[in-house]
Amino acid sequence: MMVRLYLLSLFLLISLANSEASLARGVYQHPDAFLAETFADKVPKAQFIWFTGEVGKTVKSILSHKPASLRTRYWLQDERSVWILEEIGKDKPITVGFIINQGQIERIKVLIFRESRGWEIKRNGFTDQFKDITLEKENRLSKRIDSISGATLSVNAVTKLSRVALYLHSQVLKKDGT
Amino acid sequence: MAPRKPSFIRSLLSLHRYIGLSVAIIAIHLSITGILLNHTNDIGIDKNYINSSTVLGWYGISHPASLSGHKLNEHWISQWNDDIYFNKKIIGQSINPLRGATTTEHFFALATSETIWLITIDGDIIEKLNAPGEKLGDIIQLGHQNKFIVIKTEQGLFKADADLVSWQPIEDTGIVWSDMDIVPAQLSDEIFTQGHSISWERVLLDVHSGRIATKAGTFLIDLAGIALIILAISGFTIWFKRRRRQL
Repeated sequence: MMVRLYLLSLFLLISLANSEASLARGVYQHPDAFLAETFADKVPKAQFIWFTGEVGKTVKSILSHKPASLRTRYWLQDERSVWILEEIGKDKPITVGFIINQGQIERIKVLIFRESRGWEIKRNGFTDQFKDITLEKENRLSKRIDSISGATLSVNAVTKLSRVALYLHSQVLKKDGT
Repeated sequence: MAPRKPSFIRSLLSLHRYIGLSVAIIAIHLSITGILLNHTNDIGIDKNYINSSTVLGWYGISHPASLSGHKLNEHWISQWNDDIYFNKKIIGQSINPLRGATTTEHFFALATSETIWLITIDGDIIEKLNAPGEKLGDIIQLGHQNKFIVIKTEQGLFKADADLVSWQPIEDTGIVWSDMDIVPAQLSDEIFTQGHSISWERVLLDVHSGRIATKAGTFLIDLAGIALIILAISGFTIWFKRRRRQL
């Protein structure tokens, strides 16, 4: 009787864990919808920044590896920019949208989550920590980000991407002469 | 007269002999494979991958006779499992099916149902773009019209500008669609070989542990291991008892 009860609990536990993981994976918001929402349907024309020279070196040092692509696009309006960046947490890329306003993070949102674990980063409790953060010396964040137990790699990926977004924002404003 | 009871030493010696004879072949097998495993790097089998379909069959791995892909000039873009290949180089992963590959004025492009990848002529990724908007739907086919990327989605045909920033609906005229073709056998073999990444070192390790013959093999090697322990203990006991008797 006890064995049956144990097996049943184990089965229910595994089913629950699997269903939670599969529910966690997916597109939370399409990048285009994120852009439309950010710019109130008046999305500025996309521009590009290439990961070459100093920019490439800095992004590589933040990510601790070569960027997965040679350029990324951004949307800039006045001193407000949007970045849709990807970084692998454990095995699969996590797509995150960043809104940077005057050198500060205005908002971040996990747009697409493909990993089986670490989905907790999509919660507002986690993403709200990034609000108003700026970039300090050596491209460090101005505030420490609290990790989430069991989602360390996803947390690290988003934290690195936030540094990249802030750094790239500073570079495009420099280029723009703002 | 009652038969003489064999001494402990004699019994142990007999057990030692029989166990020794039984496990001799397995001991030699374990020694040879063990020595080879210590030198996999020196003999280069750690980076030598299996392409024998028989050996792959032992691991339950099989692959189709051929692989389909898209030819771009002298290059091939293909997908095997979830990996996207530029010739034999893995350039990324996609769980969505490859829909096509095409050339533009300055770069190559490939599309899965969800994303468009711009790549250099050396296979480096310039940029990965999400499919152009929820409104256009999944990509069904990729092509070009005068070197401008064209996609076919559930909503119709759309042509991108040079930077793939905006998409305009177009008519089906003068579009060169990406065709599927059979990847040359030599290249597909290399892709299949890389795709599973089973090295000869792994096979040797499985031969050493008996895992190659599934549970029966592991059980046999386990038994041999226990027998070798008994052999060592019995050998030591025999030597020790005899030594004490001689003193």
